Amino acid sequence: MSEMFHEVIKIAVVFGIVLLCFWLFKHRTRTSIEPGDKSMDVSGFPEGGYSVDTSASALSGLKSGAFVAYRNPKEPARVNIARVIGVEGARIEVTLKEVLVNGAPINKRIETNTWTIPETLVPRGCAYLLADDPLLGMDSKQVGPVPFSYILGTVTPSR
Amino acid sequence: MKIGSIELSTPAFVYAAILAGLAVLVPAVAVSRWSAIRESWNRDTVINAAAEGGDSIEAGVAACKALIAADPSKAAPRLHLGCLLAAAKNYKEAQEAFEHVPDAAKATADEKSLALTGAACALCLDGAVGGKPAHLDDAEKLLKKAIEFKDTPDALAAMAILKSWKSERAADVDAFVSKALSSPPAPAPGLLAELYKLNGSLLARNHRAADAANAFQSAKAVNPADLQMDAAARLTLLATLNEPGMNSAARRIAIEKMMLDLEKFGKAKRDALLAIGMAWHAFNGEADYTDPNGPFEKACATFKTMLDLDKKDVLAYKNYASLLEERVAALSAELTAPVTGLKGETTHAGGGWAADTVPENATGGSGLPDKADMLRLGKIANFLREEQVVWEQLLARAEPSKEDKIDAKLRIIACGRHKALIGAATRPIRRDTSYNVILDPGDEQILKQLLPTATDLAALDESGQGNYVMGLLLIEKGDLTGARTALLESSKRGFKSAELTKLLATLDAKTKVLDSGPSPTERQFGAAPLIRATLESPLGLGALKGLKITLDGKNVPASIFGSQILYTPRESEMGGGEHVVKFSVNDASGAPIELSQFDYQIDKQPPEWKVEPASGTVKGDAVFNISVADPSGVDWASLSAGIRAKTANSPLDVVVAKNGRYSHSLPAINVRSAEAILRSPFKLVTPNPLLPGEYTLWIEVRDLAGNKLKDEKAYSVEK
Repeated sequence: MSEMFHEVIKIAVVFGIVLLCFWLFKHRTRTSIEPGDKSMDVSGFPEGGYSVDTSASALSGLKSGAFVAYRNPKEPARVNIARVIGVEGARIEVTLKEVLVNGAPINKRIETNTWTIPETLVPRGCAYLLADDPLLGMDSKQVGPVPFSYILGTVTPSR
Repeated sequence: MKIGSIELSTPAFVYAAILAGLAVLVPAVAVSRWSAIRESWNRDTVINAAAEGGDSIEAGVAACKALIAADPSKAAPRLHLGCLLAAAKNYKEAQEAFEHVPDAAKATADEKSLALTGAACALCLDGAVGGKPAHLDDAEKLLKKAIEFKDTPDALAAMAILKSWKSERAADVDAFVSKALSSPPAPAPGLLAELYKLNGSLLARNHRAADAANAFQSAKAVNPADLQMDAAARLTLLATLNEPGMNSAARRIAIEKMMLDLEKFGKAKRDALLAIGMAWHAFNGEADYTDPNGPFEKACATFKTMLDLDKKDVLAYKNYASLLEERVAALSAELTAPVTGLKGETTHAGGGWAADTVPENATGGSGLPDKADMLRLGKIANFLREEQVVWEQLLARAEPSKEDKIDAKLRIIACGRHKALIGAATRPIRRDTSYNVILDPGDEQILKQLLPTATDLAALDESGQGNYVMGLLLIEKGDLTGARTALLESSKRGFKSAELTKLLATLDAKTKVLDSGPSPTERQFGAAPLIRATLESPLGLGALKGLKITLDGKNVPASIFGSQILYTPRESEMGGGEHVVKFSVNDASGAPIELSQFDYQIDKQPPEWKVEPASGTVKGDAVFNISVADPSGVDWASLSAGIRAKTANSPLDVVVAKNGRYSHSLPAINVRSAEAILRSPFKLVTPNPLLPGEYTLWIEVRDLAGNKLKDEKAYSVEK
């Protein structure tokens, strides 16, 4: 009787540890990525790997100006880093001089060169992402607004 | 103490407590978090399926179905299922999956609306042939229901697109488009891109090209892969370039952008260049329009590029030439003095030459335009030269229609004529001995070169306008006979113009002498009479050919000022007596016509005088009656007369009249001092009786021609 009790306890413990490991794996909040291009300012994003905060709160609270790692919708195997310009419902506009979000310019100078877009809504379930140099990167300039499902999480620049 | 083999020690109790806790906790957590764990398990599968498509969709569909089975109250797995099935083009099942979303107990109004929107989209795609959607009426019902749940931007956008497919009234579609674009947050990417396209089309239809181009560009921003949209945005933006009332700065930015994107237009590059050229021209009211590298030069350069692209592009030639023509008109309007053909005057049958061209008052008396006008005329001449070359190239290189050929030839002639007119206006006028204007060899050459073009034009243009232009050219060249023939032919062919009627009347009209002089009653000043005539010639005096003036049968070189012909005879031509003056001129056909003949007299004799008593012995208080006569009239104000003694022993010298007035009161003849002598005869007497002796009565007087009488008569006074 006592041995059987002992065995039950052992099985329960093993099962519990397996479940715990699985839960921890699924709810991990950190992962590492290697950006697929060099479109970000090297002072903030020098060459190398980056830790990505994949927590749900980090994604649900995405705001203009945040940096995110995302899978390229054209090449899902490729991961890039870009700046969130606006999330769903935001009005974005790119002029020859600056990038505007809901009519206000963002702080960072983005190399728009001769590329402009008139005031445009960011679609539902998407974020408009731009690299510091959209001409080098594969960001929303090339692929359009990126669905949230492609965004892995937020990235903190080295400075 | 032992229970079986387990010893009941403190560590054993701790161990047992931990095990017991885990035994309770783990199953409890497992049960309570089962749903989340299961969802986590399937989430990546669904996301991968949505992102990667293809084979992974099947796994995604299975994952969604598992989730629905596990918790039927949630709407999200059903929505994902519908999306995945639609991605796999399994529209029927996708529609069903979407339509079951409202059955989910926990489905929100947003989710229900989105699900029915999805169902409507799947329904339209199910059975669509060649991109033409199907089941529009049923889909509309679903969308209405979706909007009833909640007017999400997706439902509104889908309804707008559906209504446009059903070709409903633009106003209804527009209402849904506007509402969808203003409802937060925004439709899903596919719908949003279509919504922007639809909005662009509506705006373009309402002639709001700039807004339409923006809408197409927004569609492109949402779906950059849509190259068709890129082209639509570009082409719409092209239309924007020439939108009336467009902000100047915005137009400049748009043009620069179009120029950078020029190569992207491909086959439409020519249209793009045309729009850009015209857009640069739209700055023609602005201060920097003619600056170096300003809009005018850029417009010219654009049309030149069009010609480099296709040397047969008639429109490019025409637009380029029109630009130049417009500059000519603008510069002509800036001229301060009128110049025939450019400002203030149109060509008349008298030609545009000579004094008629530039009034002296406008040119500082030099007969030439001032410095600023000279500069303008120089620029105008350059533009005319350039324009003429463009038209000539059009005729030589392109394949213009008959109308374009006529236009080109008309403009070539106009350019040439204006160049010649400018040449005449910027050089001093020269005339030959018959007073005909001597054309500068360069101007004459220009006009000569234009004649073959004018001949071609007259043959080509059945309307008679060509003949009319040829007539003008011949007038300016001085061939009035040829001009009349050309103008008559123009009229015969049916060309109607007030100017033509006027020119014909002018060419048929006779030149008349309105008045001439000196007339017999006209008072002449000085010894030399001014021979003059006022001519009325509808051709203008500049056009009078072969004008001759003869004086007593000899040609004399008269001067022409305005409508006056003037001549002052030389001394050798001013013998006393009658002289005959004749005017003659050639008419439009070249035949000489006598205008007028008149005579005039030249008076070189002093006045004649008589006195009573004529001479001999008179009494001391004698009264002299004096008569003075002259054909030209007597200048009484010059009259002086008196009596002086001849002998030295009685030195009497009485001036009875001086400067036409009596110097003394003379009761004997009832005259007061300073009384004027105005007519002949008049009386003369000394204030006091003369003593016996020898005396002289003297007189000095001039006639109105200035001839002076100075004479005296001797008398004796008896004792």
